[in-house]
Amino acid sequence: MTQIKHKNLKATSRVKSSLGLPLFIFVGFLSFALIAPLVALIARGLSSGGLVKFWETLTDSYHLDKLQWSLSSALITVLLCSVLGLPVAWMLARFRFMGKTLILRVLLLPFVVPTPVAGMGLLALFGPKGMTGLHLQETATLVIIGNLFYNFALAVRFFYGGILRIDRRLLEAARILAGTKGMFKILLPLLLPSVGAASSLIFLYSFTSFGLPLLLGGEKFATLEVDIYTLVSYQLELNAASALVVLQLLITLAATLLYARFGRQFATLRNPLPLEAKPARTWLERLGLGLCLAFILGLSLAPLLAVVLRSFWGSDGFTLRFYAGLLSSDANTSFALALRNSLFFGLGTLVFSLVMGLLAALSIFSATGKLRHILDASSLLPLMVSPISVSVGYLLLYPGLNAGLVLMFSAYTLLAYPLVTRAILPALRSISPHVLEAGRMLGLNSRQMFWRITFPLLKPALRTGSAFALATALGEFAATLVLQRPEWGSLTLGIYEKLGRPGAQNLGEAMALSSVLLLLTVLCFSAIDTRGEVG
Amino acid sequence: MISYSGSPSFADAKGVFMLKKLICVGLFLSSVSVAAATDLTVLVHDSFTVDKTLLAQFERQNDVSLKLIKGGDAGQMLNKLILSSGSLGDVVYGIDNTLLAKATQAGVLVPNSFRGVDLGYVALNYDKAAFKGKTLPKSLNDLTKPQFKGQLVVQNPATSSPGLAFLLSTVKFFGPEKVWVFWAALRDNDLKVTKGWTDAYETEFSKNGGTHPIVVSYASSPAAEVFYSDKKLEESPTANLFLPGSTFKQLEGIALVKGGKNAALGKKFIEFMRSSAVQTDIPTQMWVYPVIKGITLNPVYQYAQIPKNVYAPKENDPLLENTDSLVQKWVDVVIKGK
Repeated sequence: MTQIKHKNLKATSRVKSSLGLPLFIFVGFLSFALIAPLVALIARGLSSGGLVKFWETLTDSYHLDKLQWSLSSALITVLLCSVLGLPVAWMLARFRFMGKTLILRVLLLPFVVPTPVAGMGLLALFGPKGMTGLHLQETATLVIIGNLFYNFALAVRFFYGGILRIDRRLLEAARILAGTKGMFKILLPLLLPSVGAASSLIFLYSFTSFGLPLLLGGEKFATLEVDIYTLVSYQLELNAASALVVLQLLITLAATLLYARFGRQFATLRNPLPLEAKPARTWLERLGLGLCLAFILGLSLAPLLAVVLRSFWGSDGFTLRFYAGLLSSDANTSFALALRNSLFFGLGTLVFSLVMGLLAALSIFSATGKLRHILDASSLLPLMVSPISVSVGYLLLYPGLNAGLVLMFSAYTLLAYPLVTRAILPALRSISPHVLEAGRMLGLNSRQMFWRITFPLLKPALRTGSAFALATALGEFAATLVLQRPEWGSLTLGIYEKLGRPGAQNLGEAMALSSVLLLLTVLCFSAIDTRGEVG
Repeated sequence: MISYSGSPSFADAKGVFMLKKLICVGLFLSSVSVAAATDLTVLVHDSFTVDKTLLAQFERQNDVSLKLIKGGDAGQMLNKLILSSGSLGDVVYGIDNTLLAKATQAGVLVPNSFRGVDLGYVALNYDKAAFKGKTLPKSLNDLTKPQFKGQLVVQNPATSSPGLAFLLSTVKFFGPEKVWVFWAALRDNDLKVTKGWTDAYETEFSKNGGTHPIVVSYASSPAAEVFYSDKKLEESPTANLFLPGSTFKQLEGIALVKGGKNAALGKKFIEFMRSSAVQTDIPTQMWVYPVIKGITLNPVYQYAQIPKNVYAPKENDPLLENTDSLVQKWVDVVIKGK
């Protein structure tokens, strides 16, 4: 045992010696794209009104109410994602069935859908005239369903990856010795790193979510982020805004540190033989699988299907007019340009965020002691602060760069790389030191070690990370962060443009454009993950 | 180009092809920007649309390359201009009469350079199908009665310019005290508030699948409904509801940004926006009326009406001087329920 530990240390230090540069690049990027702009905002805020006003904002009961709701809705979402996501992920990993790869891809689609479109899809099911007849608009339930719609895929994909990293011999042994119950007793603790990784992301996304709660629930369910957005974007109350930004950051930081601590306490297994999927045989297995699939399809797919249906449904029934309208030449941003831009920004972001995500993960993995904790938490910083406050920082600090591609790609990368890092870290931690040791004994230098050993072992995790990074870039997340130029018009911005005008044709074209975006996303995911090894 | 110099590190980790790609992009971008003799940067709001061929014509005639930057909606755009101390553009289009006082106070515009470009009328619209055989409200106060409970959807004036215009018209109509009684009664009558126009019109308005048959929009929206219908329509599915005190005349304009370069070209662009070609194009692009007299409107405008008795504040109207505190009060009454 001690010998293994010793070797482990050696192997790690071997990797670490080559990591000065990654750490430097990662920290440099974070300082440029996030920390400096945020500091600029807070400094400007404090210079107008000082600490007294700052404190008044923090103790205002209205803001505290918003904080309480943001916090509780985020926690409920995290809880539900874990409770519902674990059995679904288990079923997906355990059983083989037709269309599984497609389902794992489709799960990610909500991620790319612009907020108003997601809202329309969900309201088509749960709204006042909704198909389910439930009429949940203006209720907390629908806000939570909205959060689940966006985040459930994250949970399932991360848990699924976690299950596949567990050695099946261990699960088999536990099952033989202690039955199915015993097996789950072993399984759950082993999944904790994945649960921690997914939960921290879901918490951050839900806590800082903004458009959907407002759309589905109304002002009553506005989050703290809505407060910040209004103060910063319309009222120019930078003092009050920065007070809330600091408050938000303290909470997200505390949550992230908690998870980071939690995730590290559980060792991961090395050299796993992943679980083999088998067909569902007994009626109980079939029922369970059926329920899971129905749940996924109902939550993630049905609202999107409603959108696709609407793109073919005009005031006289079935129509192709909306698609024809997209292709007509008098559209303001041409369809071809929007498609090309979406691909350009999506693929560019993918490359940058893979590099940055990997650098961040390697830096965290190789650092020791306090530095490791700090890096671990700060790699999530982009998701901890409100994007709108960062964008104000950009205006204050880099006015000259503002409508340029450098800042554009920085912003996209900033929001996409944390997903790559979170996907890679558990995989990186599960690489056996013996493998690295063997590589070193064979005389590989650190660069060769990375490209021949570490990188191939990380590939499945990189695929998950890539899918999410791409989804982030294709969606609206980063578009709000920097100023846009008409010639950069993407599919997402095109949807907003159409939705910004009256008329059935515009609404229909927005739905058609959303459907194209969904199709493009599925195609991109298929290209990332050619062999169907989603993990 | 300088800004790409930080990337060899990426190339180091991911292969040289990344760097090559970046250089290609960089070269491409710089080749675009050196094509014309000079640049003119125009900051616009998200709804800005002018026929591309007209813009290209302006570029050719003046040997200039136009760089358009979208700054969000009008309110956001002005704030961005203020935050960046006016360094986002040479010319700014989209500042309206509700924002002009703020822009002037912040000193981001060249004094006296503001010129009107277009006019819009913020007004209530209703869904004709929903009111078939039913009586329409006759006054704003009617909207607070049980008969019209939950019928109205408005935009939050803190985050939307039609929302702000509607609020201002009610303040003008009811006066600075009584107006809050009206809004409190409206709130208690299940008023729906959305962040912006899109959520109100495309999601909450009953014509588009929501449950609220009356919405704050523009007097030209019924015409746009016909123009952008997915089949030939004899009449608009929506109509204006000109209740006393519910309409607001928005004057949108263009100005030189203080510290912007090339004021001479900027002035030419201002003239261009007021030229008859652009003024003729504007009504079916941005759905607002031209400011220049004698422009023939597209026939679809027969479905829109210009409201009478509209609140049309002048530049020095005291109500426009303190819109921020009015919005704050509105948030207190309607959102916070104080």
